[in-house]
Amino acid sequence: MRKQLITILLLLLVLSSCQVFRQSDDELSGRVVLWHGWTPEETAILEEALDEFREIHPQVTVASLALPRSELLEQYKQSADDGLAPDLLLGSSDWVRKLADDGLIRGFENDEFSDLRLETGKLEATKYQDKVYGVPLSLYPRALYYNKGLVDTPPTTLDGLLDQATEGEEVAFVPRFEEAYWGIQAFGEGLFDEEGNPTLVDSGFAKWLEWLNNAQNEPGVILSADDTVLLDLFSQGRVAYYVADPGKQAILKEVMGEEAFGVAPLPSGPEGSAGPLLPVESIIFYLFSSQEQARTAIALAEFLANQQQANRFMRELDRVPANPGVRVDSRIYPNVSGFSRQARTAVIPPNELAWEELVAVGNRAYISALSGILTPAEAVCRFGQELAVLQDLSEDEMRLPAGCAPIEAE
Amino acid sequence: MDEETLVQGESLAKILQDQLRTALAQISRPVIQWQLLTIILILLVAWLLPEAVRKWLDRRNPNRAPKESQTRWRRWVAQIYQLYTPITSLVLTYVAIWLFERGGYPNGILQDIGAVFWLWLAYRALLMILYARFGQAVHPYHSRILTPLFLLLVFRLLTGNLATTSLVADATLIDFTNLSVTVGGLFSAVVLFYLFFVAGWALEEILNRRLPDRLETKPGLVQTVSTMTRYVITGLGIILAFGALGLDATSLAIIAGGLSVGIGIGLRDIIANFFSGLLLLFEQTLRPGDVIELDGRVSEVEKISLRATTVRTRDNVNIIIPNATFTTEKVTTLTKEERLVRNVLSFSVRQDSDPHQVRQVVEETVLNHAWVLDDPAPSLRFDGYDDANLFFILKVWVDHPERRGRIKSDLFYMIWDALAEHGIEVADDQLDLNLRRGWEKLQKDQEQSGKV
Repeated sequence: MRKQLITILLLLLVLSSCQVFRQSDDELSGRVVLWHGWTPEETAILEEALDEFREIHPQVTVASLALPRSELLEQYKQSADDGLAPDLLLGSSDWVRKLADDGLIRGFENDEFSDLRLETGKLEATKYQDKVYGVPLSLYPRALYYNKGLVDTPPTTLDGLLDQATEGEEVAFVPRFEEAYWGIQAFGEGLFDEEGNPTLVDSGFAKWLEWLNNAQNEPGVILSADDTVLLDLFSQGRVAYYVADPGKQAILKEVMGEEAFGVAPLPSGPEGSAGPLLPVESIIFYLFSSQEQARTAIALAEFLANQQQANRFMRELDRVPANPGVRVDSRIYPNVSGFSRQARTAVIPPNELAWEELVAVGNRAYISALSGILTPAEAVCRFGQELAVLQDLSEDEMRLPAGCAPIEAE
Repeated sequence: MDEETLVQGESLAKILQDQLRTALAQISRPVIQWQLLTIILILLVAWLLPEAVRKWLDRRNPNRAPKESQTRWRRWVAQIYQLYTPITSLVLTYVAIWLFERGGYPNGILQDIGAVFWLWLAYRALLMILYARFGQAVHPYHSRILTPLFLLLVFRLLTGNLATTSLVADATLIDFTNLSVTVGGLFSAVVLFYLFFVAGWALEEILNRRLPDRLETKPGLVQTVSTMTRYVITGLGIILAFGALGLDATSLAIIAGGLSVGIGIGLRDIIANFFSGLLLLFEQTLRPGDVIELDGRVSEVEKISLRATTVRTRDNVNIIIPNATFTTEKVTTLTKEERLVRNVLSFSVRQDSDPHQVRQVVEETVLNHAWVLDDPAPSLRFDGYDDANLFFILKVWVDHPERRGRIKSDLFYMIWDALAEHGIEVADDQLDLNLRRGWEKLQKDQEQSGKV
């Protein structure tokens, strides 16, 4: 028995060695695995695109797997530790930092990436420490949903929004950092400078918090942390405006009907256009794929991000294409067009910052300002100080507004 | 992006097909191949090394004591030697993990295998202790409980981290009206049922071994209690297994309704036997250890199961009798309330014997038999006499009803010897003639004819 087992093991050893030292040829071939968190309806459309790729490259086998979106990142990390992660992952751009820090995804040098036949915008969403870690596929900026039955023309300014709200066309949104970031840029230069460092001087953060503080007392403005309730209010026609990302289109279509609502860019403020955060769904590559798999994975990413497939995803799934070559006709795709226009002024959060910590600190600033615990200016100072300590930023790296106490190291 | 993805239970064939594609893609990666290669090498070394050590020891000391003559300490050492392979595997695995980490390569599979080797070591150590303490009595528990549990845990360790495990588990096997059975549900149901089944079996075994000594009660009652315990635990396992399958009361009612006609016709006898078994166990009309007479054959009840009862005849032959037989046919039980039965023996002695002496000798003799009770005491009845014999009937009480025939035989032997020892002749069919006249004439006739 023992001899037989040993023979089998030796045989496996020889076979494994053959696999390890097998040379790859130049033809695009091999097997790649793709993981995503798309719904069954979305998966069906994705499979159509994959089938086309399989037809073009019959030597390639693509195995795709849909996992619950909430589990996707953790499952990827766990599998990557085993060496069993997928070659491609359709995930959010804000995962890049975590996965790159753990050494689980493949980064491309800028010149290396520009050699690819990719025509994508918003590449900076997947940049981290001078490397590009993924191919942007779809954009998810928050924009202003409006009920066409209640509103003729959506407002273009914050004042206009407030006027309409007080006149009965109520507006609802979540007053938290990620969801309500969009007003900061309308009152200033935004939270991040050109190099991606946080800056609070002239950011507009305090003014935006002040506007929110005043607006929450107006009868037509509903601010609630419970997004589900707000979605219900909008879908039932009880509020005219609702701020949310493109992911809500499917459910609103189902409840209200396709023609019942529209999407417009968020209203601008005294300093310029609104700038919501811009999560980008990206195609991320596993670091430990074989050379053959890496080559095939990049080819598949190129294929999924090309104009034809981006059009397919826009047409079938109302996805906002990241590919700048895709023309979004506002007459054919009015809602996608609304999000697309919003994406132009949206803010891509720099991956250099630990995003979860930034959001936690930001949420505290919103809560303390809106509940009256701190004045907006105090809340912004506290935000800057906490952020600097958490991110280990010096005073040069993190400029605070005048009147704030200096940063104290923890 | 916030919307939760709803992953519905997909068809098993599609999922398995995807799994196969995924597995083939994963195995073509160097990081996977190197890990698998390392595991194979570890196993090879861990298996070959002990063999090499043993041969080396044999060469160094060819006159080592054979196994049979080894001391207790040496036997323990031999048992500990069984741990060598898992320990070597563990050490080599952790060395490999360290090397992989230094190289910056994923090593999750090696870590999972390390956990399996820990489990293997614990399993081997447990077996070592159990066998050293209880000997071969452990074997059935080893093969029915410990090994399946070990394999189950290994399976859990190897598949627990896989992202696709939950997808395969959610795959639908049967989808019919209210009834939807998934792979995971079926697996859980089988595991639950098996665990409860073997737990019931183990408890029955333990109760049968331990309770009679401690409670000093009738063995039949203990076996009834242990059998019922086993069936209750098994029944609980069946209910939980149905729950794991996702079958609610409505689904069960639908299934039962659909199958009732088939069951009624096809399994009629089995159901009749099943309910008869329940009656036998609950009513205690028959218990293990009872001696019964059925179809003119005396046998002892060995075991009552739900479907059939096993009896052992005096020829040491086991007969399996469907339980319905005991509820529908006439069965004589010799030990309903107690195991005492009376044995009756008839014999006769020559007419010239002293009946008082016969009584004394026989009654004293039969008491020497181990299975003859002194209370009620044996009694010898003088049943009459004729020209040649005195007739007696001996009545003795025994508490081994199944051995009545053997006891009877023993007693005849003993009586024969005792009577012979006291000069009492046992009667035979020879006729003694007492001639009072004509004896002289008969003698003269014989002399004339030359005969004596």
